[in-house]
Amino acid sequence: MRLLQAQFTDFRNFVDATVTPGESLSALVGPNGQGKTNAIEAIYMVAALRPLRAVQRRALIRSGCQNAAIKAQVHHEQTGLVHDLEIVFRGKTRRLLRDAKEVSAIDFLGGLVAVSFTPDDLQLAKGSPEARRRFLDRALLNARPTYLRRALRYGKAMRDRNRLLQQQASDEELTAFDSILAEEGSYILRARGEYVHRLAPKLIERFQAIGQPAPNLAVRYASSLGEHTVEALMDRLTANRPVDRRRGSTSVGPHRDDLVFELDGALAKERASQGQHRALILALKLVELEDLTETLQEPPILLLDDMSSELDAARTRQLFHCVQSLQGQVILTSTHQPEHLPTILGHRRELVLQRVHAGTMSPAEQLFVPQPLESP
Amino acid sequence: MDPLARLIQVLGRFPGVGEKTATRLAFFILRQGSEFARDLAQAVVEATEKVGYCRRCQNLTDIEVCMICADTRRDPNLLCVVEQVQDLRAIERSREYRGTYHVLHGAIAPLDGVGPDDIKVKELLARLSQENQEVQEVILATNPSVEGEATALYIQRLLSPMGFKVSRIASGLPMGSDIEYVDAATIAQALVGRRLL
Ligand SMILES: [Zn+2]
Repeated sequence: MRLLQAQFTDFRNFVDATVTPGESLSALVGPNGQGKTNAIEAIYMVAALRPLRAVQRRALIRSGCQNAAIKAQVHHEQTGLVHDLEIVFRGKTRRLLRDAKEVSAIDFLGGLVAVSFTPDDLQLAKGSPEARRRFLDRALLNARPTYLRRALRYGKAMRDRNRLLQQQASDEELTAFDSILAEEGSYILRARGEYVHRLAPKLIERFQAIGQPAPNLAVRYASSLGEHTVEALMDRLTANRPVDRRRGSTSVGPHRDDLVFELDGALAKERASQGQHRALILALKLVELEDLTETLQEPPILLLDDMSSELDAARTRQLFHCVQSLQGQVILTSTHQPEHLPTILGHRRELVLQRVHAGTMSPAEQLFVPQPLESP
Repeated sequence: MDPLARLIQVLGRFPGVGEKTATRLAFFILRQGSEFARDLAQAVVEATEKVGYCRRCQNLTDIEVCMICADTRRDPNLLCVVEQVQDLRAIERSREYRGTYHVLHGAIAPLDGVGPDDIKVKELLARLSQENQEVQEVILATNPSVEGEATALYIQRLLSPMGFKVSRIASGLPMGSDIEYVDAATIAQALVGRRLL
């Protein structure tokens, strides 16, 4: 998958800007506060239909404007086709177009598949379970578009159920919504469980390779349920109903679960050092990327926001080494002087450069990278 | 208020009609002259005064029992439950269904404050509890949305103990369209609902 071009109109602080990334590595460079992250966010929106950072939809539109638009042109290697993807924001509403035809979110997703890696991600192992559930949900969404529909239905049915609990509605009415919750919840639980099961051995291997000497890592999906069948979830929802009525909310289901990392038997969120956290998250992102490449049979696009300020030199090079072995396209932001980038990244191929300054984007320029005398 | 402004304001209360469209409609009415205006006003008043719910199926009608319920050629063993009159009309257009209907006029939607008592569920139960009624199978044709699905499940749990055969309409691929043009959600649903041949 290659992003050929992305164009933003009145998106955040951009009036009109075009990113034309290269085949492998592109860098958006400039001082902080000029709009580099906004550009990464615009590309990410086309892939995930949600911003990198939680914001009101209205805030995506440049202040004083009615509409904002993001257009992306994507080449799919699998089919050889080029697709035009467009999101148009107007007030709180959003329209999605694929090849100039209005489509639903489920049909829009998959047009561009991207994995993002931002400084916020480094909090993943330490932060709230919600962030880890979001990581799982985003990863699954990339791999299977119907996951979105299931997750949306689950969320809707749960808000309905919580309202019924608060109103002390009849058991018959609650049972109707419990059935939907059990059906969609079981799908989500199984999808997440399978994903973690598949990812865990690869993650452990990768973590050991990065963090030498590394403690023993264990990864598991910690569920509020022992079994992930529709019947098991339905039984628990029924059993917990009296408690849930008192609390006015739903106490069991995938929305209560967590992705747990343990180092030498202790919870990583409590025990891991800063360096171990970074190694863990780096390993997790790399494994996510590899797994997605396998599922899609082509590498997704990797969006890196300001990573070299967060990762040390060795880790940054490890990240790039791995990314390049996947042959994927990488778009990154950096505050470094462009001529230092090849050294920082250990990058030895073409590098496309665009400078971001006060909501404007300079035309793409090729930065020629001197070939090494001998291969490492 | 001046009469033109009042007309525009009233027309602006239609769903999907903004001030611009309301103004255009008002000018159109004025251009048509007084005979059209009297016709329109009379039609509106008559419809609102005379159209009500069918005593049996809750369809909209100007007679006590609607044309469908009164039609003796319809199969009294089959009863199809729909959310809206528009859904009934859509099923009628297919001309494949010869049973009777029950219109709920909504679906259970807790977040919108709509409970079972706000839609015509009681009427359905009352109708099915009558001694001389002939329904054997109830087809739940509510929408595949969370609300429609929950409404179907709710009604199913009430009717099954009463000895009715309860079925749910299938969802899947639309006829006459190639799989390659069908959206991913519909394809996924059709795969889940596959049947053995
Ligand atoms: Zn009738």
